[in-house]
Amino acid sequence: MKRVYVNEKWCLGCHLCEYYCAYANSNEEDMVKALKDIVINPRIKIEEKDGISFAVSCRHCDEPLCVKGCITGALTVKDGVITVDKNKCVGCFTCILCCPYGAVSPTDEGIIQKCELCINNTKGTPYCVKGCPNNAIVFEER
Amino acid sequence: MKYVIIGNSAAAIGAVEGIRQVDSDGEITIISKEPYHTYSRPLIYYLLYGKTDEQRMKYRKDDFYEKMKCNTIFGKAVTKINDKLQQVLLDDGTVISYDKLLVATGSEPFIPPMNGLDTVDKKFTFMSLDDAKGLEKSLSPDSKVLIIGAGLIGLKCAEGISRKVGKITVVDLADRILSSILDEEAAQIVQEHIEKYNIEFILNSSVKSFSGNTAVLSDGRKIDFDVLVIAVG
Repeated sequence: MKRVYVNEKWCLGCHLCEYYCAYANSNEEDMVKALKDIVINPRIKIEEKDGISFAVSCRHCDEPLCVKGCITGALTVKDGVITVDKNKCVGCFTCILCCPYGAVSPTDEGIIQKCELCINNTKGTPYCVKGCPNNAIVFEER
Repeated sequence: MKYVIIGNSAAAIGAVEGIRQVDSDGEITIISKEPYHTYSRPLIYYLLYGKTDEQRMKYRKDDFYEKMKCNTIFGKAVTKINDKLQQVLLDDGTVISYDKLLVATGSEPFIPPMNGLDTVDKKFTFMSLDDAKGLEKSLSPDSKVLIIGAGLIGLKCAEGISRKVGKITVVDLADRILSSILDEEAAQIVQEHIEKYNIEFILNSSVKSFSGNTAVLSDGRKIDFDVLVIAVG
């Protein structure tokens, strides 16, 4: 299946992917409206240290520990994509503790969010990849 | 292959999903004494707290058994396993045969011997959906609740009902709360936080005996309560 992969040598650390993620998941048509005057809480995050940077988002693992650990059944795998049922999640954060990549994070409402490859928002395809100016993240089959 | 699974919670559901990864045709039968669609047991506290409801606390979707091609026998308990004949006997006399059997029934709450426990009218453990439903029904805004056990189950229970009752007292034999996971310093911090929510702790203590709605502690102190929750393990 197609996943988001990182070419860290191309990552400039510009953080645009984070803004594109926040925009895509706001379900706003207008990017300015979606991002104006807010502190974004994106599902992809740039890690940077000593001149190296790269974007981290859900790996959609074949054996996902977050799904195994989920106490409510809110996290499920369908066709390889791990998604969260926000209606079921109670915000116990077990998945946040389980994820080896730190790719699950709390929402502002106290439940959890993670990359769903933009299949559940209006964009339909990973918008972080679309917004990356340097092809440092790609969406492809490997 | 005929699989029989006793139990209908996380382990049983994990087993069903595991079996179906390698065997899509074998016959799976799930037997549970609880008459419910699989639900998440840790969520019984969230249910009392109001953070979830019975529909949302289902551990898998409504069509799970159908999609996984499972037979379900709910509301019946297994009373006997005959491993020579590879059969299980249900409490209504039904006999079910198996090729592979999984016992995934989880644990039973431990109730330590306490004198006079049978004189307590409203007493509960806190592990299953029925426990939570029964407890909720017996609570009123003025209820005084006594919880025995300051571990995860006891404290989750206290948190779940703290907004619905008048007073909660938690008694534990250990010298600190959450003694299996916190050291003294950390336990002190958590205890001070919890005490802000009208929850009182009596540590280094146990209930020696009950007499109706009064508990006598090991140091002779008496505590009046309306509802008792036993959450020792």
